Amino acid sequence: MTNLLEIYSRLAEERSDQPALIFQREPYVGASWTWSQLLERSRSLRKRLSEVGPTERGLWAVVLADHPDMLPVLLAIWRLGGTALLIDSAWGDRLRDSVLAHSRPGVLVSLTPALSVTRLRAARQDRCLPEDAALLSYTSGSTGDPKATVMTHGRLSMTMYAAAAAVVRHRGEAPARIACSMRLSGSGVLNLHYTWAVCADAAVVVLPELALDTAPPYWRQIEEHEIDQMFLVPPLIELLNHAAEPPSNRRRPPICITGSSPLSARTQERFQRRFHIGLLNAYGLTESMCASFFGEYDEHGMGRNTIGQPALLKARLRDAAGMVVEGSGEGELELSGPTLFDGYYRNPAATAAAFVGSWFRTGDLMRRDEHGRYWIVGRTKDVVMKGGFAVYLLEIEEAALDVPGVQEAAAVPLTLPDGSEDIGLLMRSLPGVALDLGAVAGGLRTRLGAQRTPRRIIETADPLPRTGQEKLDRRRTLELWRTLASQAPSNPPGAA
Amino acid sequence: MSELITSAAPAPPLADPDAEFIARAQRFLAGFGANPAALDPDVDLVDTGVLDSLLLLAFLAFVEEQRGHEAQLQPEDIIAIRKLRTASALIRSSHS
Repeated sequence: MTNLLEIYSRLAEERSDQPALIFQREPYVGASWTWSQLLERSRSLRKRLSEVGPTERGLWAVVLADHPDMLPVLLAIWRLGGTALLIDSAWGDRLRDSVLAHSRPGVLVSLTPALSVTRLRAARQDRCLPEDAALLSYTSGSTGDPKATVMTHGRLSMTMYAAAAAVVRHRGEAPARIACSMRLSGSGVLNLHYTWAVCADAAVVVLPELALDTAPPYWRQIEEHEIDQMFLVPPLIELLNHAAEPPSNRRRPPICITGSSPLSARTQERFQRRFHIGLLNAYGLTESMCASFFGEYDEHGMGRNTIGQPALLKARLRDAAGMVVEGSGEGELELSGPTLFDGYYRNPAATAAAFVGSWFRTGDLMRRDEHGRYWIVGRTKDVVMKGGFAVYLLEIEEAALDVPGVQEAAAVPLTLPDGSEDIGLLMRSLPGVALDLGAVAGGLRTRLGAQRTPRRIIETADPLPRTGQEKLDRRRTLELWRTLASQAPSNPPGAA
Repeated sequence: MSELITSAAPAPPLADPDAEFIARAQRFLAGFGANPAALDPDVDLVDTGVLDSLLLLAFLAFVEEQRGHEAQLQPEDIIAIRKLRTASALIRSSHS
């Protein structure tokens, strides 16, 4: 069974009255669906959605929200044979418009403040999506180089069944309840919790979004709601390290998994030392649907920093000289296999650049040890992993160049003192224009959303370094940033 | 070269026992793009959005470095670190 709607339907028959979704997050604390209620609600929403007119097998833009009806809406779209285009509610105007212009969905669905279903005029008539497309997920809304992955029912379910099997291998038993303490922002959070849960026959418990105020009682809530599995990005693991009260250990702790951005050995060691719970370092990409490496425990049940070996996919390394690495060594990770995407949606140039034959170039540098385990070393792509999100530098630069008065812009990766990543922006104004950098930052927030807004902006009067083909020279740009940042009187050590 | 941050932070009085830490913390946060004008020692930096989720972690690491040792934040500490003056008091208490 590979269609997600069929998997939900099977559970509605087999586990009719058992909980499927439990909300413990404001303002929906106490709301819950059993498997049969979930399906019934999706039938009812299907009727509502189809009232907008002919929509068979169309693309539906869905504004994601932590709402009890979010999952039933997705099921309703799949009932209509449609594909859900995932829209992050925190995106800025420019990013959202760019994604809508590129994908041209027929309908926009939003759940807040109340359910609204709006037919869009510019819907694409030609069908560009495969028949079993379930989700369309953008990792870059760049107008010049948009990157979107089509997630089919088949690939998603296969990936998440493998993920569920990996947990059983690690833990010895399947989870009954999976906690979600993150904001539903895109396919990552959706699949790491909801899709993973349905493929493991588990319920999702939506806990308060993890923040400084909600971190102290985190483990108490995990115990109270009998959670067996949790996933948090490394910055949230670090937040727990600082602020969470230790678990009572009155019940078996959940399997704890992290990923989506590099996990420092220090953060992992501190978590395991403080809470006496192993932390697995998983790895995956939107292009591979979700996690496809699930880490490894040591002989004491503590997580190693390795991401382990891949499930379902083949992996290999290519060194800087372009040669495939044999045995242990270092190079860019390439993946191939049945759950990998076919290419970027309506972007053949990006697809051509991303593949070597059937092998997808991940842009991540890895080391493979003598046991065949992979360890994250760094990155070759112009991407920053900010709070678990991949943010393309090009996307930031395009938005900056939209701001009146900006002549040149270059985004640079920053490393914060706790090891997390952020974005800096170097910019040059047009001759005779005095830029108000505060207004520039505000403009970028409106265009891109807070997540993609640079942490720090520095203006320079000099032209930005470029190669012979007038492309930004990223190495020299980063050097220039470091020089300018170190000259700034407010600059602390490590800020560059 | 100009920077996003142009206005000067309000300087605390020299007799203030928290002055040194506050000035250091203001420089630290400004170096990561926080507007010095928004770094009033008595303002809740979480409420005003200065400490967003990522900068908060960087600040926690900074506070820990200033304390000189790894320590779990107690409930009262979590309230304290939201303002620079009370964060300073937290650090002084951990040194006493």
